[in-house]
Order: sequence, then C-alpha cells, then structure tokens
Amino acid sequence: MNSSSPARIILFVVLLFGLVMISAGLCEQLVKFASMVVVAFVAPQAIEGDRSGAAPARAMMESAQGVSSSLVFLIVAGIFVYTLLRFLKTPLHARWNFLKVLFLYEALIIGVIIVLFPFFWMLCTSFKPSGQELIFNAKNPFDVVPMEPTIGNFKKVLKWDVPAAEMDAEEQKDNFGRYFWNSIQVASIAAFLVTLFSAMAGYVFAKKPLPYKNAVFGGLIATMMIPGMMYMVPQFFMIVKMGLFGTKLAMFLPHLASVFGVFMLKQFMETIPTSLIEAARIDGAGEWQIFRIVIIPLSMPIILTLFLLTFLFHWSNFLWQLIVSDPLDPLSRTLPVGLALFRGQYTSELGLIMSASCFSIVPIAILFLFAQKYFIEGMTQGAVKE
Amino acid sequence: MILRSRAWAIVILCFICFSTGCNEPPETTPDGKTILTFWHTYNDDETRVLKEIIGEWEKKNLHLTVRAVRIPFNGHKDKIQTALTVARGPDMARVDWSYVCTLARKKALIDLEEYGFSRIKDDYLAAPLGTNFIDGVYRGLPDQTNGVALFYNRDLFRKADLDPDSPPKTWEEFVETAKRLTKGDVYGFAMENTLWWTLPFFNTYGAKIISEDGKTCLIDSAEAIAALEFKKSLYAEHKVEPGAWRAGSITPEQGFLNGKYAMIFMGPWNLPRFSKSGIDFGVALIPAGPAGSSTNVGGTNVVIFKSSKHPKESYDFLSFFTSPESQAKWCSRLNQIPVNIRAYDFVKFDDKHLTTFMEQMKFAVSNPIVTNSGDLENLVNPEMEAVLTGQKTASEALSAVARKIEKKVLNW
Repeated sequence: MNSSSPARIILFVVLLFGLVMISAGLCEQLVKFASMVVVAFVAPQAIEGDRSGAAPARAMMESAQGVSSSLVFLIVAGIFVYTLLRFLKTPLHARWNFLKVLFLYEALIIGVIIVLFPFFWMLCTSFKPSGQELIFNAKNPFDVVPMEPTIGNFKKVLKWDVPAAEMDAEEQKDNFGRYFWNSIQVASIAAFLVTLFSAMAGYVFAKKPLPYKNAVFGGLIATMMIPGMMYMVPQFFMIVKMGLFGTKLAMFLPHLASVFGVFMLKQFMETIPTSLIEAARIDGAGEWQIFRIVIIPLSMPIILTLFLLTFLFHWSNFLWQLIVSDPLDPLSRTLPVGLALFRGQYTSELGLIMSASCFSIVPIAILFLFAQKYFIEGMTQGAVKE
Repeated sequence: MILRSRAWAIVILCFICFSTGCNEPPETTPDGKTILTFWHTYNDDETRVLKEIIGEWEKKNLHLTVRAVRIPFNGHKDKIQTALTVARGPDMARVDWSYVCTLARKKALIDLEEYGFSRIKDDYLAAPLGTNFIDGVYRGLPDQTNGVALFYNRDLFRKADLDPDSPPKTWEEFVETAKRLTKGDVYGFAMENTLWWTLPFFNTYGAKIISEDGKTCLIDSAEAIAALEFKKSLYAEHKVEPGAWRAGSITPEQGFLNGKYAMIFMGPWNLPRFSKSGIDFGVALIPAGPAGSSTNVGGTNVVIFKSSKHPKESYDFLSFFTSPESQAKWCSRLNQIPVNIRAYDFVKFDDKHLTTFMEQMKFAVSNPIVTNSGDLENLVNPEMEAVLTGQKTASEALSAVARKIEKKVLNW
C-alpha cells in the first residue's frame, strides 16, 4: 500500500474513537444491568402501591453507580490501550489490514447491539415496578436499566407472592411454570410428528412411483393458497365431535398434515441422487431401511429446519390453542394463552408480560443455538433446486 | 427392526396419552347443585372479589352454583363464537361493550325483558346501559364502565404559571391553556385519532354518529363537521398537538408519563399505574363544547345466551352481581366506577381522581351501536387522518364516509 500515513492515522483515530464510544456505552449498560440484578435480589421489596418502598433500591443503585462508573472507565481504558498497542506493534505494511479488521469488528458489534437490544430491553423491563415500564431516561432514552429494580414481576408470574396457605391445590399449580410445561409438550410432540410425516410423504413424492403423483402434489400445493383461518371453525367442529375438546392432542392434531413441510422436504429430497437409493437396495436394504439409513441422515439439515419452524409455530399458536382449550381446566392452558391473561381491555401488565416472555424465549433460543448451523444451511438448501 | 417398532410405539403412545380428556361438562355437582357457567375476563384481583360475590349469592340460592371461568380478554370473542357454534358455550359471559350488538344480531342472546329487566333498568348509568340496547331490546347488563377524561400534568402547569387546581373548563380555555403549555419539546396536548377516542369531541359538540333506528349515518352533520374541524385545528392551526396519532410517534400515554405532553385524554384504567409512576397529575372533566362536557363509553357488559338451559337463574345472578350492594363492594375494593347509580352513595373513594370520573360518567353519551364496530372504525379512521393531515376538508371526508358506512356497516 502506498497510501499516505496521515490518512491512516486519521482513520485509526476515528475508528478508535468509535470503539471507545461503543465500548463505553455497552459496558455502562452491562455493568449497570449486573448491579441492577444484584440490587433487585438484595434490596427489600417495595410494597405494592407504596412508592416510598422503592427508596432503598434506588439508594443502592445510586451508590453502586460510583463503583460501576470507575469499573467502566477501567474496562474502556483497557480496550483503548490494548487497541493502541496492537496498532503500534503492527508493521506498517499490515496496518491497512488492521484498520479493515477493526472496522469490521465495530460494524459487527453495532449489528449485534441492534439485534440484541430488544431482548435486553425486555430483560430490563421485567425488573421494572408496575407503572414505570414506559418511563424513559430523559437524557438517554437507550438507558433502559431501571433505577428501582424489583423481582416482584417474576414472583407474581410464578405465584410465589401469594402464601401457599391462601391457595387451594389447583390455584397453586395454575402458574406460569405449568403453562410452560404444557407448551413444551405440545410443541415438541407436534414438531416431531410433523417432521416424521412430512419426511415420509416428501420421500414418496420425491422418489417413489405413484399414479398421478404430480396431480396429487399440485392439489396439495393448491390447498396452501387457502388461508388457515378458513379452516378454524370446521376443524374445531370436528375436534369436538371426535371428543377431543380440551385435550393436548386437539392443540396440534389438525396441523399435523403440513403441506408446507411436505413441499419443503420433497424439494430437498429430490436433490439426493437416486443412485444412492439403488446402491442401498443392491446391498439388500428394505424400504424402511433405505428411508432411515439413506434418506433421513442426508436430509437432516432440512428436517431440523422443519422441526424448528413447526416448534416455533406451535409455541406461539395463540388463537387455535385458546379455542380448543377447556376453560374449565385452567391447568391445561398453554403459554400463549397464559400470556394473554396479563392483558386487559385497555391495559397490559407490561412488567408481567416481559418477565413471562423471558422464560418463553428460552427453549427457542436453546433450540436455535444448537441447530443454528443446520437451520441456516437448510433455509438456503430448500430454496434452490438443482 | 427394534428401532422401527420403537419409533411406532412412541407415535402410538403419544396419541393415547393425549387423546384421553374431558368431554361433555357435567350439569350438576356431585351434591346435586345445578351449575351455571360464567365466562369472564377479570384479572387476579377482580377474580377474588367475584368469588366472594358468588359465595354470597350461593348462600341465598342453595340449589345453585356459579362456576366462574377465566378466559383471556384478548381473543374472548373468537372463543365465545366458536364455542357457540358447537353448543359448548357458557350460560353467561362478560364481553366487550361492542360485542353485545354482534351477538344480539346473530340471535345468540336472550331478551332481558322476559325476566322483568324494566323494573331495574333505571338503576344503571344511562351511557353504559345504552350499549346493551339493541334494536329496541335490552340484551345485556353493564358490569364495568369507564370513559375518558382529561389528564393534566400539574408540574408542567406550574412551570407555565398556570394554576394546577383550575384546569380548563371549556374548549376555548383549553386552547389557551394548551398554547401556554407548548414550549420547546413539551406539547400542550396529545391525542389518538380513532373514532372511539374522537367521540369526546363529537359528543361535546352534540353530534350523533348513528341514528336511533340504526339505519342512517349522521356523521356528516354540521355538529360532527365542526367537532372534527376543531380537533384538526389543535394540530394544524394552534400547533399545540405534535401529531401523536401518527403511526410510529410517541403515544399520548408514553409522552404524558415522560413529561412531554401536558394534557391527554385517558381512562381510569391507568390511574393505578400513573400514580405508581410518580408523576404529579390531575384529572378534570372533558372541556365543555356547545353541548356541555361529555365523554365516550368503554367497559364491558354481561350477557346471557339463548343456548343456556337456566336463563332465569343466570339473570338472577347477574342482577345480583350488578346490584347496588354488590357494586358498592366491587367498586370500593377495586377502585372502579359503579355501573349502578344507586351504588354511587355507598362508594367513597380516597382517590379524588376517581370521583372526577364518577362525575364524568354521568355526562357520558352511549357509543354508536353497530354490528361490527371494527368495520366502522376502519372506515372512519383513515378519513379522519386525511382531514388532520390536510388532504381533505372535514365536510368532504365525513359526507363521503357517511354513505359508505350506510352501505357497508348499517346494511345488516
């Protein structure tokens, strides 16, 4: 590179300034959040409706600010010095490269902040006392960490705020943990069955001879054009006639036949060379063995993708689960229905909704983390047919 | 082969596990009491008081029991509608005020007059009761009511050298006050722009939206045009309103809580949250227009379904539930506005804001009653927005939408 060194220096100073600003803002919020969580657990809980009860929490937060701002200063200074030293140590010819990498990191950090900020906001709001959820810091609206933190929302959601003696057995069980467990059951079983059936159907449509195969498949695809809402009442009618009203099976039975899933898996399985299947047959594999040993492992990315998508769909399928749930049995409620209880005609208990949502994103986050590699692979593979 | 059979075993087990469940709900308890089901959408605190009131009623009616079942408010219409199609509906339900007309016109509700409702109907507040009066017949009872009033930030009043104890009483005073409050990034007023939130303007100008017989739309009357023009002037002419009704802007509630908007319309449902937020605010009657002060009606009604096998007993319970005694207990415990006028004397609130709301509700005017209030909003709201943004004049927009409403909403 024969670019002039002043340009390099100026660019470095600008990037370094950006880095310091980003890390200062980020560290400040993270350290403040950490101290807020500690305070929320340590501080005496404010009594409902009594504003003076929040004073100790606020005092603790304020005293923690001194410590945390010096901590933030140390971290930022460390990052500053480290970057500066690295820059100076880098030989002159590699400095442009260094600047490129630095820029890339900063851009990525900003991207991460944009993506994760809503989750951070949700976490912070779940620690806010009732009535304060919509109040923002006048100087810095992105400073969402509450100054009067409380764990009251979490306690309420899990029904730990009411003494056990005051509730009957059913009321004790009727909490968010129960809804969570119900939803895990419904979503995971539905996702398992949908992927199983879709894989079998997709295999047939992709690889097996079947009279009028294309016409049948075209007919199936055509049903995707009809909005799902249209089926709602007839499906409900059938569920009741089958005597399944109020059961967990009813919550996913009508959605087990997933044309979308069949379509997705068929498109993918068509890319598997037929010669592999023939080779397996020559080796003496039966139909089921071919399916299990050849087709399933090769289609794993797309199968996992479908599993995730179906899991997500049932995890958040509010309307259908509300309609088929038996209101006489509150213990059969699923998570989306339980979440809706926090919303009234005109008001929403935002703090409660947010603290409950903190739990509800956990399974999806875990699933996504584990299957992320397959998930992204599958999304593109299903889209392109060769 | 072992794997294969195991896979099938899992599938079959799943089906067996989940297909066992409840079926027809029993009509009587094991000790022979007849069960009345009541689907409600109350929150935790309200449910507790409801159970107490049910207990009192059951003491008087030893052979009956009320099973109160909680469903989420969000989705209660779908739940009720689908349940009714397969005859799995409850005996009674608490529904949004606008849903009574939908149910009544689908012939799902009983006529309360069969059980002598006219004897007690004058006990109820006129405006919420009006939302139950469908095509000349009372189809439900109000159980909870509210409307909006004027909330103002007392601190901002002090900063603008205004007396925080004398909020504006008429629209003229209101404009003057708002002008003095508008300074820098603080605005004097902020508003929503849906029909329901605009009803206070229409009602203070004496404008009616739908005629008595429910066949003619009167939204293009001179009064309604004047009301909408006044609303527009707050934004366009006096510039005391920042455009909080636009999509994506800071909502009135949020701006009020953060001290950006000095006055907003708000209902009593936010009183507890606003008090806990620590802002110093006051509540006043909606400023008076040519027709005096007035407001809209929100809240819920309780209805009895035609499919119920025990309509008389259900009516008996609901009239007990909304009686002066029960209402007095309900409202003093939960800080709500009574729907029963005779309960007004028993209810004494420490919170003077609630007293203002009780006063405001006496001047409320019942909302336009249509089969689907969502359709009405969807037709009117874009036109009102066109007026506010200056694309149309109020008379143009309203006369065009009036004919459309008659064709699409009132043509049932």
